[in-house]
Amino acid sequence: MDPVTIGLIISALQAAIVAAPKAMNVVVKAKEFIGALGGSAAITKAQQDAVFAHLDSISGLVQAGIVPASWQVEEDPEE
Amino acid sequence: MKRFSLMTVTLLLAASALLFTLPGCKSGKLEQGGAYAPAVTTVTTGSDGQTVTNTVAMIAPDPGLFFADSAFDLTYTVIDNVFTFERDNRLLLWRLSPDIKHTLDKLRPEAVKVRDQFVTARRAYLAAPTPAGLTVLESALAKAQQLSMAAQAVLPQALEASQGK
Repeated sequence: MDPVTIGLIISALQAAIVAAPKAMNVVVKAKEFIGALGGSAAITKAQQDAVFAHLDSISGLVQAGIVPASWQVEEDPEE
Repeated sequence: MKRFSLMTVTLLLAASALLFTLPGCKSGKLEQGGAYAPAVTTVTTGSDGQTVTNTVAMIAPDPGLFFADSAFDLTYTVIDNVFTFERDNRLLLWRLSPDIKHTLDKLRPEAVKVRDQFVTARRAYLAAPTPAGLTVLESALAKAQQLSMAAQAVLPQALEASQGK
């Protein structure tokens, strides 16, 4: 295996490790959402407030005209 | 090997796509006092010295808004994770396939648009909660969910293509 391929594999593994907590965040949110849809227990005050607060923060970004850097189109990397 | 490591991340992200195929059953109950079921709690002391706590709903709970907000919260997080993952690992992904960035670049302006549409519809609904307003909100949510699924598909598709070369 050539060094470039090995480097790519190591970088990919590092990227996956870095991204894992963020991906887990999605899984946790998904689990909560499924629970809210089908569960018999009441959706707690804390769960409601957390969703509302996040939506308010997104709303604040929109009102301030803020677009996160990762949502913007940037120049292609140099070859 | 490289396919497995990146696919692990994308599969975790794609798991949330299952949500969008769920029927829209909204059976959850909202605990009083939360943001979607506001209530006022009063504490009074009786003549016998005992305190009595009363919680009274201010307005009717709004499960429709809760489920729209909750679904958008998840959708937004998924989109944000995909865009951020690509940006954080741009050079690596560019070497795997320039199509990843190019395809996501087509989705980025659309994502900003649907985010703004949802927020505008939500603000209108909060100001005047009507069934029609909720329908507009749900329509904006559906657009965001479609975009989320498209964004999640980019990385696996590009990797599949690069494997085939």
